[in-house]
Amino acid sequence: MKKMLDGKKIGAGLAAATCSLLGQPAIAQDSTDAWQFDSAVLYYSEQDRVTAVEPVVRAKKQFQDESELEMKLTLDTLTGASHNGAITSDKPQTFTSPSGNSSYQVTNEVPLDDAFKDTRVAANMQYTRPFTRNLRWTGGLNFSNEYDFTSLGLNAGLLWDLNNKNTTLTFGVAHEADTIDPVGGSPVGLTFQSDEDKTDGSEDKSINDFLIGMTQVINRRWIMQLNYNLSISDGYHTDPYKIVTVVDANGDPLEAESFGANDIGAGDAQVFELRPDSRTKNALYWENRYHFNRDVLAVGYRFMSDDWGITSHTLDVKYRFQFDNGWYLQPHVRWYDQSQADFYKESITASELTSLQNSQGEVSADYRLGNLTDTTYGFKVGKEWANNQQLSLRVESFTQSGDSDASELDALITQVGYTFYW
Amino acid sequence: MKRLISLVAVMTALGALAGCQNLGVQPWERDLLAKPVMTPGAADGLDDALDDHIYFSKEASSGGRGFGGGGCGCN
Repeated sequence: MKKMLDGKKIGAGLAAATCSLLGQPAIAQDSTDAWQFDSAVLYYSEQDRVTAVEPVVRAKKQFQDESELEMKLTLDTLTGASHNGAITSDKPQTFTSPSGNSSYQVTNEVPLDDAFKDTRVAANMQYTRPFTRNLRWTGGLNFSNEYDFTSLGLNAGLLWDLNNKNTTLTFGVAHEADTIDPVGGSPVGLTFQSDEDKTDGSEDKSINDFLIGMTQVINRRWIMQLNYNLSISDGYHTDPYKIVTVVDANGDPLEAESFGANDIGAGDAQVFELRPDSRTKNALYWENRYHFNRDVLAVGYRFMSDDWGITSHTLDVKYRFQFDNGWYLQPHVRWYDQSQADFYKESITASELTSLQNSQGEVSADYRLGNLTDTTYGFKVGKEWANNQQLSLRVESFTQSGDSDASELDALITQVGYTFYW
Repeated sequence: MKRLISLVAVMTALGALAGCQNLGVQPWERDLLAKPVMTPGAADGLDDALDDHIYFSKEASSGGRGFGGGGCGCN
């Protein structure tokens, strides 16, 4: 009996059940000699705004020594329009494009910058290896590049199995170095967009992450994971393409020329946003998976708070109906709620601008930093064959709602996935 | 607030760890737990990573499930 339990198959199963490293756990497959390929194409489409097409392929292999290698390649193509930060007004507003070469005017609509176009390439690699009976180390590299942004990251971690492998503790650290090279230069915060006051050269940001996690088997049907994640970032956090509208007492856009700035058209009192140069985030994550006779319920909850004044709650529920012949149907509901950052303002008055300029205070009208409630609901349907091949389709509806017109957003998430062994 | 959260996290982890010795299963009771669908982070293949990327670029929160950095200029 003992010999059989120590067998490789069960060993792999145990590792799969208990190991959940940084969200990238062990392979739980019998095909130990084959590479597992997970592939997917995500099609994300917002009404009137951004469309993203994102193909991903991930290759995983578990070796004889129970070490594991995982490589992932992601391509992300973005097109469409993105909110530029300005208010929605029945008076005309005039903006310049990010490059500063052209201007556009918007009335009665959410002001969108339609020059939004980018292609992102991301590559990740993660290697995990046991070095004692109960300890594994892991190390990883991440790289991503897009037109105006480059990110390089590395991580290291330790996984410690306890209590007959019913408990796994995870300790992880990660460092990410980002370089931002905005189109047309980095704008000087709180200056008028019409003045095109920008500096050449790139901006930097570094992020240090710490993660402590525990995965615990409760009983034969129930497994639980609890993570605490501290993320400290320093450097350039401002969105170089976002502006804030300066308004009068009626909430109508003012003119740049009345502040001594260049006149490029009506309602052109739009200043570049400015965010703090550091951010500390704390996140607690709790996931539960419960196996009924055939079906599986997964409930995840995250609490996050940061020193920008944002607090958020995320609830994620999936229920997998398992049918005969490998078919499954998985409805999914996600609910998200965040409170606004201390420096978020939908617009500012002339006197607020003066006091911000005098104190070099921060302000942003990016709706993603405002009060926000999001809901996602949809389903995934899939079929698994005896040789572990898997085909799936996911369709979800994503809705955002907040204090401003810009925050009202509807998007469709569609994804086709295919897993095979080779 | 930050310290309080850290303290709660550590206490919860320690408390849970102490209590965990009485939890769990024997190796021969892992038939259900060994399935990929019961593995946090792996149950839904690439969905989690794709979702994290979508919501990182549309919301002010990230991290928790894994590290908080996004490797993306979208936020």
